[in-house]
Amino acid sequence: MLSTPQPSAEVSPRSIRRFRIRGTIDAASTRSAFEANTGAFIGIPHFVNGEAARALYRELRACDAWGLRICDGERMMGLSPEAYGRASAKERAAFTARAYAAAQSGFAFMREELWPANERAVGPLTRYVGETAEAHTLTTFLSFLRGAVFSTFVSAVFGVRSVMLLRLTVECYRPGHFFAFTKGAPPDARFGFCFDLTPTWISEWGGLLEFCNSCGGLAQTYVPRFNWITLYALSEPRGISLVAPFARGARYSVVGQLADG
Amino acid sequence: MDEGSDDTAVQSDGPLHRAFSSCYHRRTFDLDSSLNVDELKGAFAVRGRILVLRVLEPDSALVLSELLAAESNWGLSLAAGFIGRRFMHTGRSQSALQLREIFEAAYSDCGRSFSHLYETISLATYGNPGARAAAWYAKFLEFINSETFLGFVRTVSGLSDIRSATAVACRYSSGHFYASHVDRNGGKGHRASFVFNLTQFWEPQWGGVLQFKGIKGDVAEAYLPRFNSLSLFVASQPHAVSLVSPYAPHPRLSIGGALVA
Repeated sequence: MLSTPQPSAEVSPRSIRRFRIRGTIDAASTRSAFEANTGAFIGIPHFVNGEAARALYRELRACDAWGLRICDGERMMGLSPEAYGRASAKERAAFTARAYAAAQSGFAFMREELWPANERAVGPLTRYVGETAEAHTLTTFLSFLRGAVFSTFVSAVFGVRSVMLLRLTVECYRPGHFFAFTKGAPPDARFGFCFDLTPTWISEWGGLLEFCNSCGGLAQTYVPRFNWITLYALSEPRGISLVAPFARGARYSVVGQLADG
Repeated sequence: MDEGSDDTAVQSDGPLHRAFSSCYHRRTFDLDSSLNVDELKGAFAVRGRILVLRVLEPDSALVLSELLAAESNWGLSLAAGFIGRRFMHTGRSQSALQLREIFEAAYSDCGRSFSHLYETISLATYGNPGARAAAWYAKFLEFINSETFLGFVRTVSGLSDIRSATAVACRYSSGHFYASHVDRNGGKGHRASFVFNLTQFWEPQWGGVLQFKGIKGDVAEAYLPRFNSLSLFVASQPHAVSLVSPYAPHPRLSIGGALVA
């Protein structure tokens, strides 16, 4: 049985028929800005129509299908939403300790992910798209990400003929979660995006999307923002800073990897 | 100062011994001779700040780094909106309960009011004048008030009325941070601030990043605490030190201060 997000009572999922890229966003000027950032990254505020983004945020916030995913540098591990819910404080602490120990000297991460029950391997939401009810805002959004409008826009920004969506994760970073710096990517993926859906956030709370430059310094820091997309080349070292224990909320995002089509 | 017999355990044939010996014979700390002041001046003029890499000649940086790493006279500086600002000596370790209360106090107001949590030592009023470290700190204060350093910062910053410098050592361990603030240590005469970063190895995922705030709470620019770098910035710029992660294996060490007219 597939575990699906439940829309909150605040929004009627059927009222969200489509996501649209905001009309004033111009691919050519965005491409210029991307190139000015050495072809590494570009952040775009107010990316889609606001009511759709708000509906998606509400749906994710109300969702009960979040599982825990960690990487300790050597392998990925996780707890399904059911197991996560049952896990004792001691068991959760053991996962945290494992991720933190790995992050002392290398790559590691810890976060929550939306977790379809029939997940088998990497890229669970690639399967997820076709298996949920059309009315769900998330499904509508994932259809938008797979559609021509998004693909055409993103291709133009990256300066390639076309792109193909390979993998998606819907992520939630709560206090204590992080994603250590990496420039790694599967061999078939060249570009990435992070669509932020965090309505209220300050930089002190962490959860910042950071990019390193070639000298090992920080080239760019993005504070989580609502309805904001960051497009980037997967060759760029990037990470998400630790969400502080005093953060008042969670950082929601939809993250994807794209192939140069 | 007694050459080679410092508080730090220095092997008589090791690089640290040679560094202490080198600084001792020169009777001072020094800037690196390869600094390109014109280039730095141009870079500073753009945003009123700069990160100068390899700022001190290597022996000076090594000596300072080792002094701070061996230091045991730290005091905890805590600021939180509802309790104001407090300073506690940490030579005697606090109980776990006291530490928890300290962290909770610092975290409770972060982002809402002036708040910070880190350890510090005043170099000018070093609490243990008999210790050999005191003599080195006195030498360092002489150095930052010498024409070598003041002339350098005047030229790079264009702030020609800088006349003196004050300094404190800082240690940020896991869980420490300094929320967004503007430096006012020197009152109206406080022209610029500086930080010598003295941690010999630091990964970006460990936090402790010096962040300069942009509009709407964004991070306009961020400096990693790279060994032997100098962060130099106009004092009126809002800035913060991001939370040091629980997986940072060692503290972030620095000497910072005010450049005063």
